[in-house]
Amino acid sequence: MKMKLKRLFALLTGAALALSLAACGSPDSAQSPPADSVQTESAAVHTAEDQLVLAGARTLAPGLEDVYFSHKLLGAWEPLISVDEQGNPMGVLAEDWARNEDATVWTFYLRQGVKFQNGEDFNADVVVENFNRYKLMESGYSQYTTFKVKELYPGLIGCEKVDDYTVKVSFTDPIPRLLFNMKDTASCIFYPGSWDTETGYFVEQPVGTGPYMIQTVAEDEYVDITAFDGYWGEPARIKNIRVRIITDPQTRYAALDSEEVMGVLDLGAMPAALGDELLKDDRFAMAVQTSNITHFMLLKGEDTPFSDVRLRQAVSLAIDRQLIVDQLWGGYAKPTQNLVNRMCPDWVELPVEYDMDRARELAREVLGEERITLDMYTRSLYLDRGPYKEMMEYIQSQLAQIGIDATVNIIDSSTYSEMSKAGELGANFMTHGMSNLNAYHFLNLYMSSNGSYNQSQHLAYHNPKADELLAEMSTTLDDGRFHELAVELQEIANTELPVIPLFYDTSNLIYNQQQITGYEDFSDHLDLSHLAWVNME
Amino acid sequence: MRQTMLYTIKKLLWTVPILVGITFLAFGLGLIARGDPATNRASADPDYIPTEAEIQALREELGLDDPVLVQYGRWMAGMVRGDLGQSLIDDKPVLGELLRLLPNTLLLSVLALAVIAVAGLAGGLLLALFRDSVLDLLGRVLLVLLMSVPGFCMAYFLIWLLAQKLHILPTSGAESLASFVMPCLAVSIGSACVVIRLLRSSILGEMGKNYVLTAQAKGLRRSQIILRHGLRNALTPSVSYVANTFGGLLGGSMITESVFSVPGIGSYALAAINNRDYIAIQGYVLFTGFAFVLTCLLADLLCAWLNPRIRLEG
Amino acid sequence: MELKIQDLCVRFSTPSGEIPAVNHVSLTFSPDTVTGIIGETGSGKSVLGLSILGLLQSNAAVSGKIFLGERELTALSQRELCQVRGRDIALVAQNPATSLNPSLRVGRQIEEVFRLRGERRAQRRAHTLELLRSMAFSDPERVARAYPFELSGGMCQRALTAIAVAARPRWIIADEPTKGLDAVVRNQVYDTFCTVREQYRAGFLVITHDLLLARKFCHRIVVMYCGRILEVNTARELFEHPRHPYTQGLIASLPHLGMRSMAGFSPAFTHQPTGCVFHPRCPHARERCRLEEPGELCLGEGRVACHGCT
Repeated sequence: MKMKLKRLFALLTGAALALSLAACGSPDSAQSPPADSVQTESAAVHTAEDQLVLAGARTLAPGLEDVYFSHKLLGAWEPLISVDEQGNPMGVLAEDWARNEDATVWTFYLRQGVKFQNGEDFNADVVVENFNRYKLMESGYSQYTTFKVKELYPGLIGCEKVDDYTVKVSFTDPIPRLLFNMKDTASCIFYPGSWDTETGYFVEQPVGTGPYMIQTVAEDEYVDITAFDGYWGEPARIKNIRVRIITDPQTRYAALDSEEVMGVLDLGAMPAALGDELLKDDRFAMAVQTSNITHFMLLKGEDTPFSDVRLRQAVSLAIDRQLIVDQLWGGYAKPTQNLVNRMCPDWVELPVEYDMDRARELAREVLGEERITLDMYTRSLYLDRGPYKEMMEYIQSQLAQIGIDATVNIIDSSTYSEMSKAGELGANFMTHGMSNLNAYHFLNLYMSSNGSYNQSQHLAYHNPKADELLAEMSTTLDDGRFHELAVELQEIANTELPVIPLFYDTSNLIYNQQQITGYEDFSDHLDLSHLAWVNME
Repeated sequence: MRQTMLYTIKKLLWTVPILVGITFLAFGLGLIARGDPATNRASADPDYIPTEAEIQALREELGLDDPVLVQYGRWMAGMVRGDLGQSLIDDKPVLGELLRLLPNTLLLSVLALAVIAVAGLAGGLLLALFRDSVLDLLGRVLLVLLMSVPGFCMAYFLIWLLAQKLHILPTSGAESLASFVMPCLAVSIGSACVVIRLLRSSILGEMGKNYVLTAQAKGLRRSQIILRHGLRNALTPSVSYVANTFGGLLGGSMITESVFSVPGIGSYALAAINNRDYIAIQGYVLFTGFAFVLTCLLADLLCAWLNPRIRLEG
Repeated sequence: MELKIQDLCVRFSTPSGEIPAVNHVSLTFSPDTVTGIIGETGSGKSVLGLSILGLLQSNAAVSGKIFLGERELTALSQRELCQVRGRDIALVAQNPATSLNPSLRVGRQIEEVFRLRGERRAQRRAHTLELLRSMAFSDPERVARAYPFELSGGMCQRALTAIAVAARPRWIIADEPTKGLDAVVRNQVYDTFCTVREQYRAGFLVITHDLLLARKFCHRIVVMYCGRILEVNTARELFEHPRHPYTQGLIASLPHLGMRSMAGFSPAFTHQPTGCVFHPRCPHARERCRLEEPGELCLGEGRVACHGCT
């Protein structure tokens, strides 16, 4: 009898324990503090020496195996040319430039008074050496952007010194849009001597001209940077920064919440759902930056009904992009049908349509009473970056209404490469970043009859008019004409939809607004040297 | 003594064919899996689609078109020299990377082993000593609860509780010893609970045996009997289980390492698998296979020491 | 130091009902005489032996009293009983092969008794070897180093006896000491017990169903059946003039006396017969035997519980 009572008691207690555990909320969903919870004491006071800790999902300092050694974001190195917030070329280490009539020779006027982090001067000799390095890199490996000299500097002959602060770069063929190619990574400048003169890869840590110096790299863990006193521009406001690598988004959330890190940065820093949770707390704010990444839906045209433009239009009309943006991407993205990214200076705003009735009509014109099946795919790595599966499921339900029975499939990268090569992907959801803001390059990839993406994704898009315009675009030296052609092609793409753009992404970076400022100084990128403590003595 | 030596040598000799078998499996797995490493390597940049020619050139460079046995032979020859090859993706030497990442995983595994062994032993003894008391019953309910929580759930829960709410431990990273506390707990709690239950039932099973009567008749108290007589005989299944678990931990626990951002060989293996980096995968499988076999050998020897029948009657 | 059992009842509660293993048993043992308790399997003799030391399982309900000299053992707590066990009363358990811890060396298991008395290591070792020698082991060092499974059944039995004897107890209870052993070894056991009795002067209680051992070694014999005592007498009297029909049947079944088996089987614990518990098998059963349980009659030096023995 005593035994039975004991058992009963234990059972009840156990049940109570289990219930209380469940009541705590499922352990793996983020726990946000209730609105009236205790706030941490308002921003602690910081000295200039205090280290600011930030976190990212991947390493920003891969090291010697990477042709840039570190991501531009860290501010260890600077390029000759970058872009401004409108997407127009902006000089960094090159102050000004000129080109000859047929755009085969470009002259760059270098900024004076710039010093490298090892005390040496920046001058024309340095630039010449760097161009020699570019020539070596046929396919320079990088986690971020591969350096392919034949694509970035097609027909490059070489770089010559004209005087201490002027260089001339010559090409065999005209290259009117060189400045767009040279943006950021393509014109990275390092002090000579730190790379192998045969391969171009670094043999020791390189020296740059940027506002921060890389102090310590703990592989796979963090990188410590410290401000460079002799920087030519405005000195960095925070002397010491540590960027930690936290691979798991939930853990990044926890790190922000417990104030171990003050902000997140780089790609995929905080998924929308977790970000929303954090924003309920007054401590946090979000810097929304435009990004050159566009989300696409690519339909295989080869031997499928989707080679008919009306069916592609039907698919596009059946998708309510604003709904996707509002419900799934927190309202931060921008719906679009334009395959060129809005950060490109040649971009124009074009109408985005959502019309279910017209979609049905068009679909019926092509399919009649038949229904067809469509296998939609995306890579599993996208699932971390946003609610991709949910988006595909929404689109699946929309397509069902116009006579297309779609399936949603998530596959890993390797399977994806194989299937893509074999042309087995009925529809492919992916993102494409327009890192080179040269509109021609991007339009060519998709719209030209032998554009590389057109072929490798089996789009089977043929438009002789587009081919004509692209041919002209590639040779014209007139910037005005270039722009006109770009606009015309965009309009064609908007209507004919060789691919179906969905929306422009934004980079949403969460930071602790009680402790730091400077995250929102630029609308298109984060500049670490602008970050400052709120309370600095 | 001589017999023990013979037993040990016999065990050691057996590990050799087991390891060879493991190398076959490791190599074979890489072959039948889908996806081509040359294509993966060429497509590392998400904005660039490689041409066929490029991929083919890479295949030749990496020797992927040679017959299977040749590739296997090449790999085995290198392994004997101590060279596990270079990663197909970023050319870094596999052995070098494994050794670089090993300390974290080793630290985590050893800490977890300590927790499992100590908690398991203490818990099992306690529950056996206080059998059928309130402590015992409550304890067992708690154990079942803890055992049922999956590792990653436990990980997130610990982060929430200890880092976010109580601020006593860092959320992630491998910077200080404190950062290893939570990953260690996440990985060891489930196994420790299993060991407690296992040890408890083994001890209680032993207590029903005849020799316990003799011990009682000597005038020993129950706690003394459990500690001096029962425990020794009851340890064998628990030791085997703990050894298995430890062997598995040495391979790195992928989920825990990624949740807590502790760079270890588990996350290395995960990346290798995703990228179809055959060479890295093979190196990893061999490495962990070796570690596992060694651990099992040690466990067997330990069991033989505990139970003399095994080594003297063999 | 007399050992006295007063109206002992032991009941086991099991899922299939209550089992009365020992039913109102009263006995007195004197250290000068060796007492043997004989009976079939299930007669309750082992339970009786174990209950003296309080070594029964937790589902046993014990009523009645057991006295060692002046001390009432049944009133002691577990802790106090631990003081009695091994020191005042020792047990030589059944199944010698499994009654030793298989993973400890034999020597160490014997040393443990000395350790409990607080002796130091060197002393313990010496005493153990000495003890083994006195148990007629020719190579005590080897035996001390050996594990139980390396010894034969007889050797294990002697080792167990050594353990029992080590603390110089006043009483030794031997539970089935010759079970499963062949004739040669049985003689060895008998010799060992004689040696022990001579050297240590301990009181002996031998529980066995080996009638020949009982006759050789015991002075007094108690016959038990279904938890009750049927007859008590000196060994010689019992074997030459058995009074109770059951005893007569037992002796008649000995191989060298004709091996005549008794009719019937001993009853199940849960369905014990009314009246005299032996009456269904008794060739002299009468109506009275079925109705009334016989009381104990004192006849000469012993006693018997039978209606037909007046």
